[in-house]
Amino acid sequence: MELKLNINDKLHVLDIEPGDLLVDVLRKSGYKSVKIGCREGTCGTCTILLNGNAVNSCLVFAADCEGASIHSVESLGTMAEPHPLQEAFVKHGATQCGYCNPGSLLSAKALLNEKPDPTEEEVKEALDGNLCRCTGYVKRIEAILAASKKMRS
Amino acid sequence: MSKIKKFYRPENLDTALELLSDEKNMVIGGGTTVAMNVPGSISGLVSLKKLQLSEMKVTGSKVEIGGGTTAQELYKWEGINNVWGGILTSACRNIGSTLTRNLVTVGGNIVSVFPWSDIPVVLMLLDGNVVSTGNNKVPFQKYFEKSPVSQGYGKDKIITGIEIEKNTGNEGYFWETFQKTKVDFAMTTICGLIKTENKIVKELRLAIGAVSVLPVRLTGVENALIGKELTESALREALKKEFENVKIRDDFRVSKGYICEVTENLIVKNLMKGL
Ligand SMILES: Cc1cc2nc3c(=O)[nH]c(=O)nc-3n(C[C@H](O)[C@H](O)[C@H](O)COP(=O)(O)OP(=O)(O)OC[C@H]3O[C@@H](n4cnc5c(N)ncnc54)[C@H](O)[C@@H]3O)c2cc1C
Repeated sequence: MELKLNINDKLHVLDIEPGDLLVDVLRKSGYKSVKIGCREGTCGTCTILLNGNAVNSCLVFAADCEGASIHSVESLGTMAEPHPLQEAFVKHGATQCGYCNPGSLLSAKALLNEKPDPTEEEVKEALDGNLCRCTGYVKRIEAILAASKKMRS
Repeated sequence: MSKIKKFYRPENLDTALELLSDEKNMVIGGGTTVAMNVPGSISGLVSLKKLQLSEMKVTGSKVEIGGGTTAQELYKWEGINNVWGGILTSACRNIGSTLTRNLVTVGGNIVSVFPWSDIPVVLMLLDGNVVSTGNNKVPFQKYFEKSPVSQGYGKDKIITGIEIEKNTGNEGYFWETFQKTKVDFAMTTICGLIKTENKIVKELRLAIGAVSVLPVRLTGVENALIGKELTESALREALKKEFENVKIRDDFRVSKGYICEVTENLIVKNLMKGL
């Protein structure tokens, strides 16, 4: 079946199977930052922004997203021009193996879109679905709070 | 290769019900349970996304919440956080993570009713109804007497919303859950309401979840204590007696004796603290 998706502000017309999950459709379409992890909504490596909300793309049927706006981490910044969140993750040592970073960054982005000046508690809650098994959690909280400060100034 | 051969997004309830009359089709709200595991005989999915079932409003003494409302929308909604002591807000906050709460719908949560499902336990305590197609209304306590799927919900009945009567005030409320980690499924969840006058219990409502397949209202305890002075020993005695009648489910993480003890202690702690 045909599916129209707006991925990172570009319209895509895709040919999918009715039961395809969004994570697989995005990866097949070249968005490899959307990682496959647990496939049961626990780890958060497949996080994307669906109409602005951070969700597990492994739990979403692609066919249910007709006309939706999707953002993956490719939309944040580039190597040459990183987003303040990406810069802060590097600066604060919030990245090691990097597998969870796309998901964590997108959850952080959704939070800052809604609350430009979040509290530490709000950061923790927004990232409660993004597991990190090497860097841990302190550094990324520091990074997000620092990025929020920078983005506001 | 997925077993799903058709995906429908009807624009009205009549079309949705017509599609569901084909037993190969299944309705989805957030689709989170189905994405993980498509039931054996199902080859078509009927999404409710286009039906605009996510309205939340307060009209007089009634709070109405659409069946397609996500757990996150409900958790963040100010209309509910001061109703019934905010226990529904606490329960929604506990559902999975922000990522899953943005997908899970009220309708899906109260039809799938996993033992650990958070919204059903709170609804067992409240005055109000589950509303389904044809404006059929069933009081929460009756709705959870049997598995909703066995009653035809999700098949010939689509949940359009829930309606909650606002409380009168002056009651004390509590909601607490016991789990190993924040994202673990609950081992036991308790919630309650108490109103006393000169130390005498005027109103008492208690509900528990996760320990049994469906949430349970502890009416035996309520009846034993209303009209009396609340003491810890009377409460413990009534709880022990009531647990003899509750069918505690098998849970590989905990023994039945242990989880009954934890549940009892949580209820005692919360009720005695409130006095
Ligand atoms: C990792 C993870 C952790 C979770 N943790 C918790 C938790 O701690 N507490 C908790 O309460 N929940 C938790 N959940 C959510 C819960 O387990 C279910 O996934 C969720 O409640 C299903 O909601 P849904 O809208 O996606 O339903 P769906 O998967 O779409 O549907 C579930 C069932 O309901 C039916 N249905 C859906 N909508 C309607 C409707 N409007 N009318 C009639 N029938 C309908 C479907 O046919 C199906 O039988 C968790 C989920 C995940 C993935």
